[in-house]
Amino acid sequence: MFSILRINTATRETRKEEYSATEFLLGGRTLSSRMVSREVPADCEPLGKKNALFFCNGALAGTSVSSSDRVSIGGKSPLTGGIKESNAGGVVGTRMSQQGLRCIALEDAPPANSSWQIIVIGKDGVEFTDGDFLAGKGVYEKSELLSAQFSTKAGCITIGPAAEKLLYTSGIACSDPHGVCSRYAGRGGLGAVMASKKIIAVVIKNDGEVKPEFTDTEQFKDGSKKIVRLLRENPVSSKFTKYGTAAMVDICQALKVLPTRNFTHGVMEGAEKINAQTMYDTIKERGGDGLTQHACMHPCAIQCSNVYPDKDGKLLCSPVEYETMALMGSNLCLKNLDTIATMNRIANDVGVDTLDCGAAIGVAMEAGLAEFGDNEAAIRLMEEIRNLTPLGRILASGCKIAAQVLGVRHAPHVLGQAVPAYEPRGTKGMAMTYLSSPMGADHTFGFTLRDEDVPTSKEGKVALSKKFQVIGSRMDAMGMCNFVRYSVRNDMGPLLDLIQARYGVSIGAKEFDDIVKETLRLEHQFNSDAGIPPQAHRFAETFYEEAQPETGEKIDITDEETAEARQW
Amino acid sequence: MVIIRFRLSEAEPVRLELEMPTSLEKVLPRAAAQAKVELGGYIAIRNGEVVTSDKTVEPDDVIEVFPALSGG
Repeated sequence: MFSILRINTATRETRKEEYSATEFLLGGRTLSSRMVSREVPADCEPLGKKNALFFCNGALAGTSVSSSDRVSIGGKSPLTGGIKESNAGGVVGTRMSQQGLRCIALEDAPPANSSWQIIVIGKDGVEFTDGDFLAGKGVYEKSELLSAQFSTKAGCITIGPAAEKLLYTSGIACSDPHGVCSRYAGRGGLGAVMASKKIIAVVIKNDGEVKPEFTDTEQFKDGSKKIVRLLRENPVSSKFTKYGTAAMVDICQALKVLPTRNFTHGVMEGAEKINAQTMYDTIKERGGDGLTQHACMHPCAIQCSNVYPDKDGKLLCSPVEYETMALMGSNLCLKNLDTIATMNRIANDVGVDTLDCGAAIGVAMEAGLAEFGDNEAAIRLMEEIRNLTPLGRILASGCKIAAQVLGVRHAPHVLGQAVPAYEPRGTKGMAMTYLSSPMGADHTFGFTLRDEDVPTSKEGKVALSKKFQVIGSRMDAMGMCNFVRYSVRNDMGPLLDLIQARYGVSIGAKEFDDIVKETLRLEHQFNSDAGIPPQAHRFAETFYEEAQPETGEKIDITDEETAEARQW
Repeated sequence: MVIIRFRLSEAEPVRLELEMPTSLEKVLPRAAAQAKVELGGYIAIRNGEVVTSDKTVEPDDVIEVFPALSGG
């Protein structure tokens, strides 16, 4: 049986329910999206009391299996107006498992003028404690205060000042193994949903006594070792270990899809100044706190994360990921890793998504509020967000709203969510994925780029995107890190065998994929019920009218093709 | 002379003499063995365009080979 802890944030009543259905066994996005579909009225206001937040760990959370402890957070997104699943690493999934929890649901909402509350979950029960002392503080300070009160080992979930102001790009921060809430479920504005319930933090204490049980312990141990072996033997995974996701800078530059100058170009002169090798060399040269490899959760055999130090070797930001290097780097024509890391740190502290804010700053630069390539101006705009000035609030509302306010047509988004770090006109597979995702533009939803024979052509891209929508969603479906997929891409057997060894439940590969497809269908149905029309699945018209200079390509994908890619 | 560069690796560029145009799937394992690079999933790029394994490599081509990664 799997437990869901329901917490009414208005009445403070709590209750546990137990279920045995497969969706609870798998957890992750399989569960979070079903809970949202079933329990959140699709037409509700995202920041109203009818919305709910579901935190779900996965089938192998709390075990020795590498990279299996991600937590999926589901709700209705204020940014897109549709369903949202955003997931994060860190220790929250593990601590939930140790408390015997598969899901924590935050329901209802108190009056907006209520005080801030911290929900503390431990083996002796659930309590609400005063959280006003955290209000207005940055996420780093909140992390320190939470660690001081509940220990660095607790699983802490918190939000930044941007969420407290209900801004649409605000994320939910989860604590890493060092007690720092730096692991973001960043996309879709779920931080604002948590704030709308007047919950400033959820703490899962490190006193859980529930240990995983196994149907076949030896088979599970062997299967767990097999996952590590598959990860270590996979040459692609080993590249992640050395360079992390930053390796994508050179690949995207070579393919002419590196977002540059508010998504008007796909190549940035001088991109090598912010590439993986430069970052690796900089971290090694500066030493100190810097780490070129780092695990966001335990156990993890990939360790793709990093710790980027300042010039004195002190921690500046962890992690710095490719998506941020592109949206807050090349997209703004910035060629300075220190600037990118500084902006990333501010975003983490104020609690906003780096992609959405990077895209919004790109729009602001196009509107003439600052020059592309101006490092100081870019940091100054992030400070506007940190200080929650009127301009900062506009930027932290995402690039769609920023473009409307600032009079810019070329706004890189789908459903209001910023386009990630692959210029869509140069990669029609990624464009198809962006257009057909129920989450708004999302690269993890179906990552086609590495498998596109002719990236600039839309031929075959409906089928390719759908293939990778399934492959990409498999990991989310059971709470695994997305990067495990390289090792099980052609054979989910090793992971499904672990489920069998743990629970004694046999799930075949086809059955598993059918569950994944059903999740996709439910997510699209929710959006349809929420009133999102088919024609919302488009880029700004400028992407259809103006060719990207380096490839000569425009978006030529039709509504019919997009609809086909959403059909499950 | 074909030049194969294995990016994001410490391997020196590999130069191979080709007597005739040859498919990438035949050229690449030779180059990888010479460079002592383990080939997993890869993206091969020539002049900014993807070269699939069945495509012909011509003398004087310069091929950039990247590990097939993704962002996160």
